[in-house]
Amino acid sequence: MTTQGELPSTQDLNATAAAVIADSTLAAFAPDDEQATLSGATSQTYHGWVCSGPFFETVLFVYCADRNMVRSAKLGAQVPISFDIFDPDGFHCNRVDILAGIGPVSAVEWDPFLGSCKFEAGMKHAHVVAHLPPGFRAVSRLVSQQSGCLFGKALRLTTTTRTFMPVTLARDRFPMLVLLNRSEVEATVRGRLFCGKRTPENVWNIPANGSRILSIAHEFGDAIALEPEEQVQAYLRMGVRGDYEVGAQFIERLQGPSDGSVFLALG
Amino acid sequence: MQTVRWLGFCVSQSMSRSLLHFFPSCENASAPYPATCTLTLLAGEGSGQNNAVQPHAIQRNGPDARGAQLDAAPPVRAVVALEGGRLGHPDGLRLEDAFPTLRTEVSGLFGIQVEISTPQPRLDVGSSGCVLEVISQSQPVRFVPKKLLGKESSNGRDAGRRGKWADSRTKAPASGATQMSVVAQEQRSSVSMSSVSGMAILDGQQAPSLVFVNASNKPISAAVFSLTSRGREPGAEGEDLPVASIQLAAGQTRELPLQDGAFASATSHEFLSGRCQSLPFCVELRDESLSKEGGSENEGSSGESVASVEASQVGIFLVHREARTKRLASVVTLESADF
Repeated sequence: MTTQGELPSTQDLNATAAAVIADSTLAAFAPDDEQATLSGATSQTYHGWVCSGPFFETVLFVYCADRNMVRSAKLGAQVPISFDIFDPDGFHCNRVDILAGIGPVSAVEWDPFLGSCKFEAGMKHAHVVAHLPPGFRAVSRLVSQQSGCLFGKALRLTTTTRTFMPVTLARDRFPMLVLLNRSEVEATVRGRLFCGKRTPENVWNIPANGSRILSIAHEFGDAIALEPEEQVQAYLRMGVRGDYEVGAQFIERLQGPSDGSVFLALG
Repeated sequence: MQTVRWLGFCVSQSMSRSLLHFFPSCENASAPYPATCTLTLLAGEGSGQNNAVQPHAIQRNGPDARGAQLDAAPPVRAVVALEGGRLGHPDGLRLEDAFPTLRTEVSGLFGIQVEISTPQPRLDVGSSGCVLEVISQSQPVRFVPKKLLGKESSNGRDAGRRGKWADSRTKAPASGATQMSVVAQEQRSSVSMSSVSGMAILDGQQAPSLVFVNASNKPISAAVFSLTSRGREPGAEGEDLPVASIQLAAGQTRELPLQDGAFASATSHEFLSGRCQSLPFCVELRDESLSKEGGSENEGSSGESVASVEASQVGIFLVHREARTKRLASVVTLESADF
């Protein structure tokens, strides 16, 4: 395992890797580029958002999804996988290389690798680019003390593709929007909230390779006035105008039983 | 394309209700042109056909039997068209408002097809969005259903065929040649959909299961295989045994729990938040009607290809439920595992 930036020692990391890397963070990956190989298998570049916070974090699981590859692999066979980590402002702050088994699942917790990552919106979070070999896939899981949920594919925003997310506004719900710039230029995302007859709009700038986590209630607070027990169904429509691509994910924290938090994720 | 479709599932129980959110959108126009959202509720969990309307008779004998089956729609319970939608304007509704039968008469899991269309001939609604939400015990879970890449979506000339999926009261007959052409088209377009992969997590808090929605007009069986090499000699001959399997009638929606035994070969992880087991798996679909009718000689190649056609109309969702309350915690739509 090789690393750059403020990281634990190589020995620590090797120990972590041998245990199939454990620690926690938040990430969600969606395929970006695919390169075909002679065998027909494709290698993929995945972009995901990771973070490590006091309330929740995520674990990234990497596994071989090619049944033929698993069947024919030698016992203990491993393949190298690398992760490039960009902080919220798009600065390349770390690189992590692991050896992933063919058959066993590798799990990556990100906390040890975000040492040089800036704080933004009160937490350490980053944009991770994973270079997966042919046949491999990544899936991430949001983990909190009381619950966990798997992420699906991140929603994509391009010049031609707008997207939307349902948002339930209430005093005891905390919807958050994650935006991830997958391009080398600064991206501008325009979001319009459809909330009854009101349609406030907001614009967010995401640095190249950077990421942002936004509280919906805070971003549109002026337009949202909720009664204590009121619950309003709204929709957030997002789009970009420019030659770049932005990934969007939605995370919501709910008040769970016995003062715990339950999370749900979309994208 | 003028039409885009998704396949998902909803839950109707005393403590659960489902919502649909949809977003008609068009790449090449920003004006709020009208759009229609058509919802098709498939047969439920218990029986694929007993309670359902059978829109088209399925011929099982004769030379054109395969074409006739593909032409027929799956058994549906009800179809509702929602008018008044506008491009660029997201909207939503409770499914029990669209289908009152969910409120009173039936309960369980139901497959649902969502179709967004526009009467404007030059508009492409392929970038539209759809999200299903299930609220169980006052806690929600949302997921993006499977986007169907059928012939309607792929060729853009779907106005005539839309009725087949949208309205069980109409039937668009096709000639034998057209039917076979459609079969060939679907085989090409959906050959990569015959198996899907995913990864299930088992820990003290959550237990995984798979929800299958068979929106095809054929019975289908699904087998879940572990993608771990533990317990198996490298390069060993012979077929793997599935860790779980299920059979689905046409139009049926069923849930297949992944029991603890399925995790015998899973990888264990120790995290700060606790211990969990992860099981990568793939799901392979087979055509049940072919294995019953076709005999053993065609079981290999033609069975697989027909299953590929039908697989494009089968939605598979990885569901994690809270172990204690059985409440849905997350739903992920599974995708093709072919490389």
